[in-house]
Amino acid sequence: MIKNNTELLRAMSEIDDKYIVEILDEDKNGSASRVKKKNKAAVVRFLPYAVPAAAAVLIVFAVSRMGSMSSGTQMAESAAPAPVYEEAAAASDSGPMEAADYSNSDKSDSYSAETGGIMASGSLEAAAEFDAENMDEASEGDRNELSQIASPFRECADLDEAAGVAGFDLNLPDDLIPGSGRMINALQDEMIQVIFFNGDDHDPSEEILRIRKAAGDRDITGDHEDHAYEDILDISGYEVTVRGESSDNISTALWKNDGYTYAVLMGNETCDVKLLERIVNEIE
Amino acid sequence: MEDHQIIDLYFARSENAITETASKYGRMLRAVTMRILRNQEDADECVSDTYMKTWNTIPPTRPDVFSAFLTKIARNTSIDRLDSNNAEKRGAGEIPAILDELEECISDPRIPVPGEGIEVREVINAFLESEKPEARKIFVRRYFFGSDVKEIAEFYDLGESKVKMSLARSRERLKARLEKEGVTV
Repeated sequence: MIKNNTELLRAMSEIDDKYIVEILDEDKNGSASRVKKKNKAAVVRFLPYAVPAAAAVLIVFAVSRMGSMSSGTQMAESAAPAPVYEEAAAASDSGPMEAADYSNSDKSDSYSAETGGIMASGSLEAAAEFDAENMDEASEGDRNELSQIASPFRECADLDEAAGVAGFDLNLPDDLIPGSGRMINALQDEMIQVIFFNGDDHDPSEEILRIRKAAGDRDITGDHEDHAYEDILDISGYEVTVRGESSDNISTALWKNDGYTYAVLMGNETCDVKLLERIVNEIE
Repeated sequence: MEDHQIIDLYFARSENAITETASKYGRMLRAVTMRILRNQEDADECVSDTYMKTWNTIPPTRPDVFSAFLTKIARNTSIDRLDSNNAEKRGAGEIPAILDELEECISDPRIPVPGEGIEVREVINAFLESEKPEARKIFVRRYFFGSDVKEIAEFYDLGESKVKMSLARSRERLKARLEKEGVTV
């Protein structure tokens, strides 16, 4: 039941995805007026060359016509200028067309540059008052936004607090990574994550590795890269899926135990099988 | 990054899912929220809320079309914010005008949708399917994205009067379809 026009407005949110994509795609390609303006600009650019080109064509036509008249074969030669006309027409057509094509590709490039591969939308950008010519500022805004996005994880003081949030515990020895600082996060009823850093200021660029434990059997590495090395190792009876450059440089490891999935994600430092064996054996 | 890879990051509960979403679709989402709210601060907050709602929805949901999925969340979040703002008597952009126009589709303020299983969504989608592409796109821009008439006219290089006419005729057809489906108006 629609109670009022507000509900009809809300019901519009349920339209099929294809109608939304239709608009987003259209925005990506640019508005009709934009393309028209680009084409117009291209014609203006071509204009200084068009006038001399047309004059040259007329001269060629006049010379050829005079030549044909003097030879006394007027009828036979009268068709001769036609290809020249066609050529001139083709030239005058192809100029702006080429320019238009160029301007279109230029537009695509500029969109790509504007957005860095982000959904570009002439119309939508206008609504947000984005200035395509002032992209540095927009990029700065994007960077600010990225840095200000709140983490969905809850930061916890210790593993006990994390266990209260996640609904299960994770036991790690204190000296697993000697001399490191650690940050403990949790997702409600889902996951505990411990990030180890060089130093205590939790500088992301100093991340050594992170260990995750989650309920269920999903892949929690978030690793979608293709790796030169991928193997399943038997470590203390667990099937541990490892990926990386080699067995001496492992990026991620994943294993399951008793209804939970565990993962090790390496940061700046490398992990070999020996270190991984120690981690797998010491995590509960 | 491809959409399916970003969605995989959500399933892996990787924080990178949100940063990748923001990196790829942040500007689009800000435009969607800004168009509805016409207030930068509110729009930015709704974009942040959109990321968190997306995080809380994926998993288990695996969207077919990620851009449309995000756009719908951003739109709904913005309309919710608008309701809240209206309660506090803050600005509402184009929405009051849009609501007035949609009122034309509803002669009775309470439209009972007949029969079990007939959803308003189905009626609207059937209506959109039956519309000619140009009229449909103008309609969706106006009533889904909240664009104003001038903006639509400029986008398609049309006169504003032509856009208004197209919208008026589409509303008539939607009203007729609502009635045809047994809606008492």
